[in-house]
Amino acid sequence: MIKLDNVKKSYRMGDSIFEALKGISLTIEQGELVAIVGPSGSGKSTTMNILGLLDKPTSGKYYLDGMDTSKFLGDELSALRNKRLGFIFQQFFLLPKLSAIDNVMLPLTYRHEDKLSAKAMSDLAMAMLAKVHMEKFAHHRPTELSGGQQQRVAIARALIGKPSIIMADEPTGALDTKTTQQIMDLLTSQMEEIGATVVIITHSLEVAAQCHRAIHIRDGLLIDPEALEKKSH
Amino acid sequence: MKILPYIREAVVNIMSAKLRSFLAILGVLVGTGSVVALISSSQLATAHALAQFKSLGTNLLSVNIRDASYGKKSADSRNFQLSDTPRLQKSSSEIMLVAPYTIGFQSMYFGITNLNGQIIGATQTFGEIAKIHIDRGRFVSYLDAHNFFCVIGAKLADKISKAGQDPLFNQIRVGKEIFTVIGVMKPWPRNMFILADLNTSIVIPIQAASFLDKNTHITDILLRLVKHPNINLVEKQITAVMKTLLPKKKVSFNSPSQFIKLIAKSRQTYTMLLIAIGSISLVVGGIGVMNIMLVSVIERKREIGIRMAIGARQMDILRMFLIESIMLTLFGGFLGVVFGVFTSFVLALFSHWQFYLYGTPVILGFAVSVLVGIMSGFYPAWRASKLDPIETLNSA
Repeated sequence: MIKLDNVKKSYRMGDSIFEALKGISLTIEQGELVAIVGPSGSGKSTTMNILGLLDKPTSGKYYLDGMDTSKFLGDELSALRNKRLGFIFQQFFLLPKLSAIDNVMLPLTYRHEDKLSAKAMSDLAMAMLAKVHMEKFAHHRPTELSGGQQQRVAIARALIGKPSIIMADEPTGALDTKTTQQIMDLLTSQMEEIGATVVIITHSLEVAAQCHRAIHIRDGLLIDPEALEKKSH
Repeated sequence: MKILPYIREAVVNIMSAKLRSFLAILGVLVGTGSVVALISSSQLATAHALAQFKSLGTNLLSVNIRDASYGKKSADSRNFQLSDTPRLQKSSSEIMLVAPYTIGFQSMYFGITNLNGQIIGATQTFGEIAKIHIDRGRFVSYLDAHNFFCVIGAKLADKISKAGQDPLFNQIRVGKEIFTVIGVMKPWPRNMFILADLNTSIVIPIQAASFLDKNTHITDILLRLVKHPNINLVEKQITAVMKTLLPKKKVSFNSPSQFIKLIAKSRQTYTMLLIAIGSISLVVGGIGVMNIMLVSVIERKREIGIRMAIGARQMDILRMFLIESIMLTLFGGFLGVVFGVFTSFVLALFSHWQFYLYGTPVILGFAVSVLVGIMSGFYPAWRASKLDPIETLNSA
């Protein structure tokens, strides 16, 4: 479960201060599939970074599974990301020098408590690759794979640590319509299987339409799209 | 903590940019290589020098007698006589054998073949102390006295054989006299201790030597001492006896242990110099590695960001780059050790030294390369670990 309580984020840019988030409060329940929608510069990437524990709010609180995340520092945040979060990126962000299976295994190698043996890790990664129908490509490098295949491997990597939340930043932004649908189907089926929450940052209204609900951000604030529509009429 | 996967990954990274990695380690290779080659060859040279004494034994002492004031020969200056030998023998209880000898030069001919060499006037004991082995015939003996007999060195024997003659029992013209060859020596390993090269010398009975040339005197005495002698004490005792026997002469001593000390001392300065040279090339090599690692960190910002996002701690990133840098220099160090040992092997081959593979330079080579890896890799690794994941993920 995710809870943001009046989260603000500002950046110092030279002499001026730029407010990226001007006070966002939201709650996302466990198992929800939520889209965060908004134009470029609206603050959705900042929201994603804060939700992904890559950045800290200037003020306000972020509760992840009931824990106040402001209390965590450095390596504790790394461990939290490793255990509770999975990331999927628009450009896949697989490590080019590692094979598909090694990429999938990577989060487990950074897990410092209950560390698995190399054999157990590779078995688990293989099982994960089978779930995304990529087991035949386990020993291929990312450059030998198509965009859709790379994103499947990236999904396997995001899921292997059994995260409670998956952060997906434009997961289908670099894919064609047909592949987009396949990836979305895969993502929804897999999240249901492990009961994870998925937060998708997207431009695409089609993708947003497949989510349980969409959260709209504009100029660092949440807006009610219906209210916006009424206003413009 | 499992280090193996890190090493595997580091090797994958190093191998994925072979040319760059090789160029980066070139400095370390040359640095380690020169340190290993120089230390190894210096050890080989020392071993070679020490081997000379091993065959002779270290319980030797040589005494050199010369005029107290150089150039001014006083008429009453008495020389050491063969008959003084028992007196010298009794000067110390640690003296086992005494062999006075003379060194002289005369023209020497076998037929028309010019035998360029020294004439050693010696006793039977000299052969024992200097470890002269006879190939054919026999060595000079006390019974030969004033007889014009000689034993010839291996190289001179070769010269005569090449002229188509058997030297044994043939005759050699020395100055105005004719000497009969009674023995041929086996090749004799030269050493710094007995200055004459016996391979190109003839050995004649010591009495015959003074007969051959009135100006030839006993200037050197070779002594074999007890197994573990107190050399300082023996030298003092001999000096005291010589003072009464030869008041106008000056006596100086040489012993293998002195030579060994001298070699060790010169090697120390030599080694310090080598370490200085090696350090400079290693510093330069280390800077090269640091440079490449800094470039690598910048190039792999995205990768660092991804790793941080999925849970790598700062320590994991630091370790990753540090291990990569150590693997890089270790690889250079390995090539350097191989290169260095090979160089010293070739050097030994050309210098006719016995080759040994010593542990010290090899271990030192590896240790130094790991140290360079840590020192030059730490700063880039630290910088990588301090990167901001958001910034690195957004970097191109």
